[in-house]
Amino acid sequence: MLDPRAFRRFQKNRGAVFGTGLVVVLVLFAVLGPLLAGHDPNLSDFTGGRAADGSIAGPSGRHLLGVDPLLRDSFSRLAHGARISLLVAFFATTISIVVGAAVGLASGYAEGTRGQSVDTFLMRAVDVGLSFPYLLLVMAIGAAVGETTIVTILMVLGLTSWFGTARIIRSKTIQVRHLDFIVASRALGQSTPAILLRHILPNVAGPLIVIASASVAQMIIAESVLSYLQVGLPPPTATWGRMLLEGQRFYTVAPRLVLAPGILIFLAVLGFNLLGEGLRDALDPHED
Amino acid sequence: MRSIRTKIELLGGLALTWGCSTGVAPPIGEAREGPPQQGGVLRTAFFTDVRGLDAATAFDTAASAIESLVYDGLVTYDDEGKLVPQLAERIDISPDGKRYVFPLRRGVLFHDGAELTAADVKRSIQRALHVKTPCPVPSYYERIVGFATYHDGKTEDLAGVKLDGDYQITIELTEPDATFLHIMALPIVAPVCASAGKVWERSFASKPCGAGPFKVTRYENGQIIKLVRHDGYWEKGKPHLDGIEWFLSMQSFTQRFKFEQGDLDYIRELSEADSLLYRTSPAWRGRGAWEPSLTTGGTFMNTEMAPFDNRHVRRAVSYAIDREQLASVRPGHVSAHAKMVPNVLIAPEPGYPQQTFDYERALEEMRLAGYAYDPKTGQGGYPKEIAYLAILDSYAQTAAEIYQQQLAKIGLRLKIQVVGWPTFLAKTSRRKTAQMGFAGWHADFPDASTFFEPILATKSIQDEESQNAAFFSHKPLDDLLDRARRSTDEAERKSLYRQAEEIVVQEAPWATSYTYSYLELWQPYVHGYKPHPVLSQHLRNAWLDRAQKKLAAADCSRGHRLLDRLTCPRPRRAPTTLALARGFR
Repeated sequence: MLDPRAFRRFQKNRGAVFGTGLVVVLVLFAVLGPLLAGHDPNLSDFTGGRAADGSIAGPSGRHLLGVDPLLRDSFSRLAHGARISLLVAFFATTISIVVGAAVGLASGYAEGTRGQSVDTFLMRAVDVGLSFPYLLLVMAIGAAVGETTIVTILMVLGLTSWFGTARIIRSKTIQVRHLDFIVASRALGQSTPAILLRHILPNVAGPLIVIASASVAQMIIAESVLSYLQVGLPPPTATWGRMLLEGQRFYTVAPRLVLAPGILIFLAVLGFNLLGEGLRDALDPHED
Repeated sequence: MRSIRTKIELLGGLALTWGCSTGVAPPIGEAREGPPQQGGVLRTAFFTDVRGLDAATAFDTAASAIESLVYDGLVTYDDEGKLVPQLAERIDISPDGKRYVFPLRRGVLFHDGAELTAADVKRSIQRALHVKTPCPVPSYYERIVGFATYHDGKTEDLAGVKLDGDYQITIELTEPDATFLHIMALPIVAPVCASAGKVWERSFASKPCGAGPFKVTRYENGQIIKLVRHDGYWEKGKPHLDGIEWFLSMQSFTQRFKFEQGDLDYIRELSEADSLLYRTSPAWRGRGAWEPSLTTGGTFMNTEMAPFDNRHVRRAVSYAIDREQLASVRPGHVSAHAKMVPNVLIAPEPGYPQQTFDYERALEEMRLAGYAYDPKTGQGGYPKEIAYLAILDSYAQTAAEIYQQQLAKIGLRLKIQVVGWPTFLAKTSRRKTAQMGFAGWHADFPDASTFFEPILATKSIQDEESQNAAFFSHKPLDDLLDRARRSTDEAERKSLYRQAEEIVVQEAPWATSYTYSYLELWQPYVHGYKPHPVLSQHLRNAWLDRAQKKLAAADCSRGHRLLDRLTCPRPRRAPTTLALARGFR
């Protein structure tokens, strides 16, 4: 997808390479971690979950990162939490990007034409969406839906986060629409959907990729916040936000219970943000 | 480069010092002997919200603690847990046990300044038992003459409650009731101000008015309840405090840090980790106390909803629960328990009926129910998910996750729904709404009857505000409980309640699982408080040594701001210890 010059720019950016490395490690942890953990993340170890002095067991050969307050294997829960975080983040971002791009393209292409009313309607809808505090909106919808499953979480996150994307893609579409090759396409009688998909979309793909990578980081945080506030996936599902919540009462005696999910959230967000910034710099022609 | 590394190391050190210190702060001030001091505001907190403070309807543990400060009743318990007159001067009981006469104290004032009369007592009792009042336990009072017709709305007067002039009231019963004075000590029938009206209204719950030592001046759901001294209180020199502030919906670990900083003076909802730190801290040795455990915890099963309308499924649940595992996740606070009545009230002798953990029998009961489950293949069991209601941020939530693991092994798949306390109460008390969930009962009074009648008797079933969350109806049990209430022979009553326990084992509307004990802590400058044998958080006689309390404000190491803490000499923390002695109590 990157042209050779952009790829070279990306390779020279140490932050971008580091971010990519973090993301790759994280994906590997999510894919392989649960297989290597050897413990069910939701099962308590009542026989080996306590140390000799009665405290909850710390890191050992039996439990690599110790156990949580319910005597469940922390490593296994972190690995399963990584799967959920990434799954939610990737799919919610996909929904967000698809909806945002569709609205942005339609709105931008209609701007200043006979279809101006479409642009006006869509942009006012975006204004309304942006006027709500994002997390509050997500929590309200989550509460209204009642039963929270992984599908409802990613739908809620995806369908409430596309407004900014739509704005950016609209402005980019307006720029591209007036270029000569688009005018030529229209003169040759190409249909509007074909022009949008074949000519305009590839030209706004750069910003979309950058937005998507930054959005993944935002989704990871949003999912963690929802779990921390207990409006995300119900217990005992292992999520990083829930692990933070469950560990915070024990941070005086077992700081690892807070540090482990906290560090993973930090690294995941850092990784995707560095990757996004790297892509932005690489795709920016002014960099040459 | 070196500069950056130094900064990182400094930040890391600060983070460790700040966030990962493993001791607890020492007590604030010293416990000096002396006469009670007047004044000061005591601050404490609940991790839950409080739904309301209407004496006639608010009946949960959180509300009851505050109600005992806002309302005085005709009778109450002394420091030893014995029944004594409160607003009554004395209690005269007829030889047949069916007539109680309560001459009232003169000059008792309500919070609104009006004087208490016998008419107020009658109005308050009638209001509580009115057909339109969602009183959670009206059946407690069914032996009052004329109760049935009054509670059904057929008459406007409760005939058994009679006025003998302005300052004496007589209550007549249809038959003797061993628990009558206990139920007259409940806030439900405590005298309330005229502003409460003759009929229940929802608005009174947030602006309660009684004749207790404190009156409510501010009530914000989920935030705070402020009590101030009732200057017209009948007991001279009481209360000692100017007020009590109760913070609501405050997480237990937040409570701990506010307690250390002197922002809370008394706490009881410590997390397991913090509780162990306090128990092993030399600075806190000998301080605080365990609240007497008059509690039974477990899970209820709604007998009107599938699959728990099937007795075998209920029995399977009671056999599948390993109670020792439940206790093992909160050592010290939780003890395995397998019967309705706490051991404090009836200690089980050998052969006493109790629910037991027996995995094979649990599987057999599932087979008998028609939901055979094969643990080897994981096939079979009840085909649908079962919604389990648990309370946010409580041990009930922890227990729910363990039940989920244990019941999955017999083919019952729980889907945990974690809700706030008010939502939990609303859902579990509504007919055909909650399939299964946390069940906990704290003794209303120190008698075995309180662990059966309000929660398992047919007459305690209501469409709304039902305390019988299992909606369990069993005629033989009802008959036993009636006989036990009538009897004044303690040995006979004990035998009858033993038979009632046997029915619970066989029918399993509840799977009793544990008892929960609270470790109560208060700073040394709080005096006049010790856990009451009956009443939870009985703070009415507490007083503050205000000079000692001021030390908290003067101690910069307890400050909130980072600058305060960094410029302050290192706080005198208790030595770190992770030796979490299991049996330390």
